[in-house]
Amino acid sequence: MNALLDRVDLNAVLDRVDINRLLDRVGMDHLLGRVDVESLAARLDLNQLLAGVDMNQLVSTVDIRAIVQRVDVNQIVQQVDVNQVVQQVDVDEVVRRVDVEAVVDRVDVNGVVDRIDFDALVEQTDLGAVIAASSSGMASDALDVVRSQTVGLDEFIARWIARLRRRPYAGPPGPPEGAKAGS
Amino acid sequence: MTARAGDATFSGPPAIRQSLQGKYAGFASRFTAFAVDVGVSLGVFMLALAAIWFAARVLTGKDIAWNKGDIWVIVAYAVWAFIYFAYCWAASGRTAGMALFGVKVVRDDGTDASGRRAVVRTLALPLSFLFLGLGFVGILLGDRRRALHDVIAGTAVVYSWDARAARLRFLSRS
Repeated sequence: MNALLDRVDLNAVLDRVDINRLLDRVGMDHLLGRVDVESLAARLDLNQLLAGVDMNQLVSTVDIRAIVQRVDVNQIVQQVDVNQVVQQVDVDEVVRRVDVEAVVDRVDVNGVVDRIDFDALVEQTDLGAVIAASSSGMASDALDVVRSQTVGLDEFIARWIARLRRRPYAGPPGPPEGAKAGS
Repeated sequence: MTARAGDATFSGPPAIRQSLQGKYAGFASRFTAFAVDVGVSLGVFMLALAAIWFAARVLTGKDIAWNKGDIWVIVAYAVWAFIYFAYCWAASGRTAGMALFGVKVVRDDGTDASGRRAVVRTLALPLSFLFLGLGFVGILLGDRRRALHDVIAGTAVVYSWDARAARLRFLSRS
């Protein structure tokens, strides 16, 4: 037998074999059914296998953007129980870690105040009663009226002067550079 | 006078919807304040003359004939007016008239006026009346609304009352 095999040119025989036809005749499902995949997998050392893989190279070839675009984020978010998530958050701890001073420094308080409609505020809230209670009465009213009338006259004159000089008028000028705030 | 009387006023000039404190005062406020000051200083001076006349009559039994053309009466009034304006501006930056109309004298950088500047301002005040009051034109045309005596003394006149607070008081009662 060995002598016979020695005389056979196996390469020539294999060259004449039509592998495709051979595979067609093989029942692959039947063949795979006889393979104990779990036993095969148990014999694999996955750690060793993964150690040989260049993960960075692998990840760099993946088109993450395409994957993300195929993900329905809205559906995922709908499945999230936000209340449960929030309950697990220690809000006090979060607030403690916030630098409130820095936040306040970044707020344009003057801009915020300028946006408040004080007239509407006073008319619609009890703040008006507080202000009324804190003022000194008739003499103060009279003084306010006299002063406001005079300021009105100041503005009237200033607007006309500006009109004659063909200059825009945007209210009383000032204050001087060194003036104390609110003085 | 009631808050109702100020209705048209408060809803009128847009300037009083903001706080005017520290902004340069206009011609009308300054002029009316000065007119009140002249009235007050003259009134006090005449009261003083009347008191002197009464005292002289009681003590000596003779009447003193006051003549407003007398040089010493003019000099006495000038001295009194100097004291009145200089002292008021040095002490608080405002005279009685200025307090009434809510304006005050400050240095040209906005800080409180010193005694020296108050004295210089008082001495320079008559210069603004020369040439038909040409020295006051700066109040109308200047960017900082300063008269000649302000420029000489290094001072300015600003509003000292809070117009917005006044408006809020008015709204709180209406």
